[in-house]
Amino acid sequence: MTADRTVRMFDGGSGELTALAQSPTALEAVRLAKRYRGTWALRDCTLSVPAGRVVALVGPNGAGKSTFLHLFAGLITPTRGSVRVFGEPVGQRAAALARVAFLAQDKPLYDGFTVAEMLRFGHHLNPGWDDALARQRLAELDIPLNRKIGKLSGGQQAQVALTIAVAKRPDLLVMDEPLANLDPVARHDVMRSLMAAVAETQLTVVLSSHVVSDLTNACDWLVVLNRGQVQISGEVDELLATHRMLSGPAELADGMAARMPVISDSRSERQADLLARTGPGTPLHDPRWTASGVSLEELVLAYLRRPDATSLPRPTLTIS
Amino acid sequence: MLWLTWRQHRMQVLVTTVLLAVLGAVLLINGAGAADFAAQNAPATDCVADTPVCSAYLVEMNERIRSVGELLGWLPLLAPAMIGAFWGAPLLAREFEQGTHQLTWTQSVTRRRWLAAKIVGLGAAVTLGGLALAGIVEPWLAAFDVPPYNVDRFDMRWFRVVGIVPAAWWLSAFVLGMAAGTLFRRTLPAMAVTLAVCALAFFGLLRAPSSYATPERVVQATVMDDPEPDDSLYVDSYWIDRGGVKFTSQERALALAGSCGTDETTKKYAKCSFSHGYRQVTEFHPADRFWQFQWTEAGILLIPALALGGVAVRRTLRPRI
Repeated sequence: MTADRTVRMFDGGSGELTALAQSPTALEAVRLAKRYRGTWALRDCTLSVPAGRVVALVGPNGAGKSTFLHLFAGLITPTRGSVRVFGEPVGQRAAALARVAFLAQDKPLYDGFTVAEMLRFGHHLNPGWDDALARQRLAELDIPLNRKIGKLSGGQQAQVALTIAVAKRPDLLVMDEPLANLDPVARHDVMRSLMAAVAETQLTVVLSSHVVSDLTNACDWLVVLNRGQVQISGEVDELLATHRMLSGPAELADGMAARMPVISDSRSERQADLLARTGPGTPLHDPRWTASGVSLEELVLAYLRRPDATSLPRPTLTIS
Repeated sequence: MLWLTWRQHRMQVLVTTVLLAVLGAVLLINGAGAADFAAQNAPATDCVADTPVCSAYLVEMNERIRSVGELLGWLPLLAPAMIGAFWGAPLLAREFEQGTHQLTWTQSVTRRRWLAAKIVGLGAAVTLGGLALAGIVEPWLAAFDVPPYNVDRFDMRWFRVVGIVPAAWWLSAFVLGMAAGTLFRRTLPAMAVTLAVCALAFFGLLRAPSSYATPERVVQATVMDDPEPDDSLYVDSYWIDRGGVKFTSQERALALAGSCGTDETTKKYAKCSFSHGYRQVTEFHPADRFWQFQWTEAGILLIPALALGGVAVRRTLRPRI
């Protein structure tokens, strides 16, 4: 492993981890692991995300994204480690359940219920239910209250499911592939109404996707899961600012690569393109090299191809 | 929470209520007719002798009770199977199948409370349904119980449609269906298994009640008309010799063929066989064991069902997908 691993300084510590950051921590996982029948879906995941973020959880199929989200939603319990939401352990207590809303991948709703009955369901099962908000959202979306759920289009069902999650008035909204199985128009509409809800309610949102481009505009925090481990966790702007595509003569590439962590390295006979973590403002002294910015997609792809490379925040966590 | 349970399962509740109401109406019409007939035609005195009035009355009452009784005879098999398959099996299996458990379990209600509302709410409804069935059958049977016609609740035709046994069957089948649902997590396999287990239990227990206690024995050394008291549950009758060795009637007939003749229907033949030292034994359960037997059968059903239900509840509450 590379020097990147030095940030994983808590490996030896078994003590509680506390956040030193100014804003409260919304999501906190410490050495989180989950095993299903002998296979580890998640291994040793430690991360901490401040409140008020829209977090993109990205990773290839089978990386453990759903498991990760189910753990935060309290649907499953970890095999090892701990999950906290706003400092409180996740679990089967009404108060803990009330803070987190979850939108499962298939956006399950009771097909035989009318939209109004689904709202009644939300009302009966959530003390903090905001009925006015729910009705207003559905009115704006032109979804008739007396229609059966099974008769709605896929996009409308997704909107009803999202409405129920938002009207619960949670502090954290967890969504597993919210845009999967939606046509492009519905994708756009769901994303837009999600962002409107975020702006109104100061929600912290985690949403997963295996398509990075779905999330680029909406999210300000990126978590990349790969093979059951956290590969990247950081602010999107900071990640983009600290990674550069360096292009220069192939014969000088080894020398350049020795000076900084290189995530991807593609060389032709003459030219080398290195995607490297340069740190903010690292100057390029050599005029034969040019540095250009990278897109989030390029960055994610480069990391996913190098499962041993990690980019985790400089410790905002310490052992107390 | 109860609203959600009602909204999700109102179809089952309504259909069951309607079917019970229809059955109630049929029994009411049939029972009222029988009561009318009995009031007008019942012979004033007990029919010791086979008079035409007596036998006409008995035949007519028998005909009236048989027509509806055959219908009722299917209920101990069909009703629990339907309750298990349509109330129990979909209860959790449908949630798992459609993924709606992920929706409901992430609202602000704990899984424990959600499950309690479902099981207690519907379990109570199912139990009430079973008791209601017994409640409408009892007065119908009472309408026929006009001497000399005798209706015996201990009779295996009625034992499973009166008292608490229907409620025990219904509740056990409901819990069984629920447990199958948590095991398979899919509605159809859960329904199929529930139906199969209900049928097995029905046929397995069909003749079981006579062994719920040691039967009483009457040993006849003289000719008696009716050795077992009224309303008791007949178990068996056989012959023994002086040494107490059990004989089948064929063996006895063979042994007596020389001295007593072969016409076994006459009293003379019986007297002859008694005089040769043979004794007739009748085994039966007296009528006052009715409730003991009802509770025994309820226990046989409910103890394993509730244990299975406990396992299913634990499985469901354990936080895993």
